[in-house]
Amino acid sequence: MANARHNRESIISPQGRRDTIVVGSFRLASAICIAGTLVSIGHMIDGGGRTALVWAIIFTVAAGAFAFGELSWGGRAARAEERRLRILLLKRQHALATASNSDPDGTPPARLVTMMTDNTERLTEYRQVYFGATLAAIMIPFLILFYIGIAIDPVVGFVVMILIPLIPLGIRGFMLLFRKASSESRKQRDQLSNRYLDAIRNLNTIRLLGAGKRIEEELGRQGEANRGAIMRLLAGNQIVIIVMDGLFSLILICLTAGLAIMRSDYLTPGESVAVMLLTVLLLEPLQQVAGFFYIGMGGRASQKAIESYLASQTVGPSAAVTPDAGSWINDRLDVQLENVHYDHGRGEVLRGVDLEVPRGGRVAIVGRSGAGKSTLMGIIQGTLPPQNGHAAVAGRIIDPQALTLTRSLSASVAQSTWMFTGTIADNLRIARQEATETEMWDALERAQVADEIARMPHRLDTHLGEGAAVISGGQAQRISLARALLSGRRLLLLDEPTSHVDIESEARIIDAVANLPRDWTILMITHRPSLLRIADAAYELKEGKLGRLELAA
Amino acid sequence: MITAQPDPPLHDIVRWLLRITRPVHPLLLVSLLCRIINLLLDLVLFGLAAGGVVHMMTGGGNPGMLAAALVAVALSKAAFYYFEQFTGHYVAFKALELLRTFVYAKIWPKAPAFVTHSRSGDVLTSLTRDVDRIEVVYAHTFAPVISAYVVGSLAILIAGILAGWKLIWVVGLCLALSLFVVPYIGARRSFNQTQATLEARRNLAHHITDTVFGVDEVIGYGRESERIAEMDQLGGEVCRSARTPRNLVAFRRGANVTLSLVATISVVWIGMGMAESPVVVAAVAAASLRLFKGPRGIEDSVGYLDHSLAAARRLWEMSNAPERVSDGPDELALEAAPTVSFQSVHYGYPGADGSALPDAIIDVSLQVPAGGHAILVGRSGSGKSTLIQLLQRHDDPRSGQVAIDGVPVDRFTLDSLRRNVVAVSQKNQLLATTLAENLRLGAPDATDDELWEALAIVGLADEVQAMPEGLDTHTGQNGSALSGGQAQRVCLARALLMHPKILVLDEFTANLNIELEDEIRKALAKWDSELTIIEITHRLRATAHADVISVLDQGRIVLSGGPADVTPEAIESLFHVRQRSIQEHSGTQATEGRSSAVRCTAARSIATGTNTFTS
Repeated sequence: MANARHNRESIISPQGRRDTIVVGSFRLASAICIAGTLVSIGHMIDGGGRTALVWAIIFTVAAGAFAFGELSWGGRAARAEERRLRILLLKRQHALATASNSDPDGTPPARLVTMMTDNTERLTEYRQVYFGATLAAIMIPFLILFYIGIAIDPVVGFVVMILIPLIPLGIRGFMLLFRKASSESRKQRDQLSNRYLDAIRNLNTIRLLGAGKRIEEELGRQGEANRGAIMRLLAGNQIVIIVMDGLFSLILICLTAGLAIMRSDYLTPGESVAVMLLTVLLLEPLQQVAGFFYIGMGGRASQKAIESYLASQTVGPSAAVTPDAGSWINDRLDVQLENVHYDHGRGEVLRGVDLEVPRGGRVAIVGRSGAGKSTLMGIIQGTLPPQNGHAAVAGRIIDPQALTLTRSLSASVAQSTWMFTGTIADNLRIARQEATETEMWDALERAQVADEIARMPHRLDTHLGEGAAVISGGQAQRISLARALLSGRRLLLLDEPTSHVDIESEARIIDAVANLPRDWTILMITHRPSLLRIADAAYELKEGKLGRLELAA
Repeated sequence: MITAQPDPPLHDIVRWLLRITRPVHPLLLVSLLCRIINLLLDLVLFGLAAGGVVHMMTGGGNPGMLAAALVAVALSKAAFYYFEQFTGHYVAFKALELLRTFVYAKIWPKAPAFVTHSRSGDVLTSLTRDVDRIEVVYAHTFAPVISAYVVGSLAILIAGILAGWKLIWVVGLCLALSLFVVPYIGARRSFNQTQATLEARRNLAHHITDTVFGVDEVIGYGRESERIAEMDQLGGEVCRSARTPRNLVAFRRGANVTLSLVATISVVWIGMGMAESPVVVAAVAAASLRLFKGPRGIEDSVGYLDHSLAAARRLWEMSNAPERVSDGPDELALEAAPTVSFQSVHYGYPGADGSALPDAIIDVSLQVPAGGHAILVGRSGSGKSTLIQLLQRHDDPRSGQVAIDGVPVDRFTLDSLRRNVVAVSQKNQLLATTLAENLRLGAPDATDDELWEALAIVGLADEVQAMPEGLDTHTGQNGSALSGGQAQRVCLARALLMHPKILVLDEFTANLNIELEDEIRKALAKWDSELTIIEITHRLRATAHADVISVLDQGRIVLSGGPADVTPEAIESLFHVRQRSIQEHSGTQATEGRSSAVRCTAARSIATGTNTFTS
């Protein structure tokens, strides 16, 4: 519980919390001014004359202004908070990507995207717009009745106030009852939606197999059955609506009317009219009920998702690598690992790895999946902090506190490449912003993809579009290689770069790597005999240690 | 292709929508009626309470009668509220279903061209969201808006007649302002700005997708802070464009609050001036205050309406997009394995904006003998799959002819053509349902025995038998409950169950090991001799058994012939020569610097086909 509270505090910014209060205050102020108008109306009836009228009009204008303020401020605050949250989430992703995550499966990127778009919007609509207003709406009846009790008649004011807790209780009961039905019917609806989505996703298959008509009818039939079930659920559960609505009207209006009549000896006509008009404000909490289903539930679910993502723990470096013991560094080695250990928190993956890659060398590492190859690569890349042992890249110690530096020393080509929206040139400039066209073409030549890009009508300015549909996976890999070459980093880390490409692309990638001048140092993970063949040395990662592999001539 | 048509006027779209949802209209009216009664009873309740109290205080009336009346009004109001809600839900669900079914019925005949050529991800996700948005109109917009106008006019009319126009003319004016002026102030600007916000949100989502999925690159090249800054800038645009609509919404709320109070004040002020009965004044004042609940309903709905109309327009465009191909006059019925021929075929895909893209197929001619086995080789993007798509008539060639047994494919009905030409691709194409239902997708009448037989041919019968639920095993979304190899074999079994005469195998072995591939090939050969097979492959070991082998590159056939002529070595040297010529052309790379080991490996991997996908 303490933990959950702590998280909540950390995800809504202080500014965001202040905004919630401001929004609530606007709502309260608006309601108080409305009450002011209504009370002034009572004074008018009791002979208050122009003074009362003037007051009524002043309160009226103020009530409108505060109502404007509530929505205007809340919306602005929500958008601003949304921006802050997105940054928080993205920074979290970067932190998680550069540390061992306690959650072995991690959050799928698609979910993170949803979190940063849809969920942040919902959460802030809930926290900055809805929440403050709702708190205020719940307080309003008490304030009004307190006022009636003090200023008009204690019996009317305080007797109704005793019954007022029935409202939140009633609403709560309403929500609980309704939630059950609504979660059940939502489940049914979700099922149907999923089938529908699935049918759309597989539109081509369905069409080509001649099943279009049949699936269409099936969807219709299921929809019908499903709807029948939902309606039966609702028919029963929405009886609650009668109870709630009737109860509110009865308790608040009939009771207030009854009390006012009972106390008619003590009330002026103006006061009794004012009391009756003020009952309208007692219904304020009801205004927020509908919003609960649209904004409240979605917002709370979003908050939970975002909280748990932001709370995901990383396993920190257990024993810091001693940065001062730099005497063992050998300037001629681009990768130097001595007795490196690593544990993701599920048992040691690396148990004393030793590796030396000389400058200009080409070293291959093999090993079955799960052997720790990616962990090893992560340490050298600077995305995982080494936990033990000595580690240096390009003659510089890997300092767990300064991994950004380590990351700037090497360039990687992974199994598959993400192509960013924009042109080919934009994608290359990710590696080096100030790269000239000549440099880009040079890198593309070396990566053996220049001729294909030169044939495209817009050449470097070819827009890659969504999902890089314009280029093949093989081309994307070679552009990724070009990007790495362009980065100016001389240590290339290749992680099975040809595992998802077509034959010609593979041949060209291998060709490209083989033809790189010895200015580049290459460390690669691969199973391909073809890539192994261009290595000077190969090692197998087995049971957490590296063993030298004899290369067939 | 979606933008190739003129935009229809708004009322046409609305009429179109109303036609689809006609079955729910009667109930929608019932729901509306219930809401109107509910709102009127609400006015009565407050008027009665306030008027009754004053009446009692001034010495008249019967408390028992008043209490009974209040209870009766309150309860019947609750009952009408219930009926309004219930019928409203019914309308919403039914409308949703009608729209979904309608749109699905409209778009499936347009597949596959629809999916291939439009930015499908976009279209398909927006499809479901758009349908949901329109549902909101039916569930939460129609009744509140109409009832606000109806109840408002009725209430003013009744009060005017009963209590005199002099007393309520200000109330009438205020209500008219809030019904006819306030909702429309800045409506157009608000609509435009909302579109701008949606656009800004799309850009933002796009940027976030790139950053999140490309996290390796972002971090690897130290671009974190730039991506964050860019994202925040896009977020700022969302903030800016959302400002105007939000302030207009806030203005409407403020205006309505003010107007409702002004109306109430006016009743009391005028009533006192007129020396009107205090009972009437109190009742009308209380009812006036409640009367503005209606405009508040409009306030909430107007925001939705913008989105909904845009959604309706998109649905209209999607549903009315032309079909790229249509049925020919004849049913294709084949007794025996047919020949397949391509005659000087040219084809270019249409671009997303309707413009033509450069030709993907250039002057391709190819003959596959009856019962033959043809193999298409080429790198990705060379046009192999496009040829198959033309054979299945995803689209028609720009020129030239694709024919089965000499008859052009556009002579046949699409269904009969595709029943006979069945393709199995490397892509996972399983529905999220049971194995049996997936298998029966193309052959709904297949018996369990037939399913098992097909599974046996693809070497999957034992594995399925071992699954606890057998044929009822759920395949998960996109076949996620199965391994890649299993999913692929289910797809093949599904194709076999349709008993096609032309079977297209597009990289169908991509996820299979060689032993399994051999077994399946053997079983296939035994299964049905009346079958013409066209295969797309990277593994060249199958070429020895083929009748025709064609090598494609950039949309052209660069080499074609029998296995004697088109040997793996010949293909390899072709690639090799082409590659060198490219390099000489580009002129910078020193070819002699290339290690011969690489060349050999490349050659070997092509020749043996052992390299890809097996590790």
